[in-house]
Amino acid sequence: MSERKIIHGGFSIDRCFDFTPQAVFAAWSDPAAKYRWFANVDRFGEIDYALDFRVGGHETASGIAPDGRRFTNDTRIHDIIVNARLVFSYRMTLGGVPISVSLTTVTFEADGAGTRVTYAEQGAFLDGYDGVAEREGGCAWMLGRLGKELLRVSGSS
Amino acid sequence: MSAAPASHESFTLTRQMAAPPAVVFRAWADPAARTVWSAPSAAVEIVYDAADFRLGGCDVVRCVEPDMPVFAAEVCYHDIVEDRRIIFAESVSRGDERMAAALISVEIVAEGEGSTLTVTLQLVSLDIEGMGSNYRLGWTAALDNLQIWVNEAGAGGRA
Repeated sequence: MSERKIIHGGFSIDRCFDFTPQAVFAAWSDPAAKYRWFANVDRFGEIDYALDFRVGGHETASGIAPDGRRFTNDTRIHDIIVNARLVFSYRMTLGGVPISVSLTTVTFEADGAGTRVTYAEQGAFLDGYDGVAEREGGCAWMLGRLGKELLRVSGSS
Repeated sequence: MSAAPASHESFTLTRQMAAPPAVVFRAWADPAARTVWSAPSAAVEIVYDAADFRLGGCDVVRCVEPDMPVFAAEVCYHDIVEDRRIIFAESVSRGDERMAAALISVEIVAEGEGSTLTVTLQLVSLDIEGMGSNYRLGWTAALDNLQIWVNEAGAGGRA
């Protein structure tokens, strides 16, 4: 596609989990846990994954999408308040072509015995390769995987 | 420590530039140029502690004003298409407070002898509420300065 076009948009997803903010936050900060629910998706086969969880640190994930194209996700962490907030930005490519850049804010709030997670993303979707609705759907699905990871770690599934 | 609820907003600024895209692009790529035009007022000095304008690179910038707290920004480049497009994410701090983070998309399109510049700011206020109005004031002034810089560069003044 020769035309350069950006679609800007954003969304926010709220999820409540029956676990403490400490337990939910640990699933984002621990590289092994984050890999399990965020990167280790069967249909993407083998994933190269690394997480350096600190302000200024990077997270990288890449693998082969079901259609055979390589995807990459490069994240930069901008802000961490332990058990309370994460701010990061990330760039995704597919087949060597950049498809989006996003700024994400995740907040963790105690809610009774559990935690309310608010995942808010502001994005620039590039050249028509991806869109706001698709990304929101993908992130909602990912947060579902986070819920399963929390259940698995607690031994209740 | 707990986090205040984050609030999100976005806005777009557009400017006609009297020089072709390559000149406008250089105004963003060159820290010396950016030091001149990105200061929102003459009282503010922009100081680059690090500059790394490339995909995956980050700048570290201080915004210094007499009798005011110093603002520090870290600017990380996520997409660069020469003479056409720059997308970067920044976080802005004042001491230990993380004031805001923003995703900023810069689009440059040839228009006759000049170009059209479109800057879209998507920001989130973090420890300080209502950063959107500060962003709008600061960037409106900066892009006015950029128009002047580009006029002079386009006329050979700083080219």
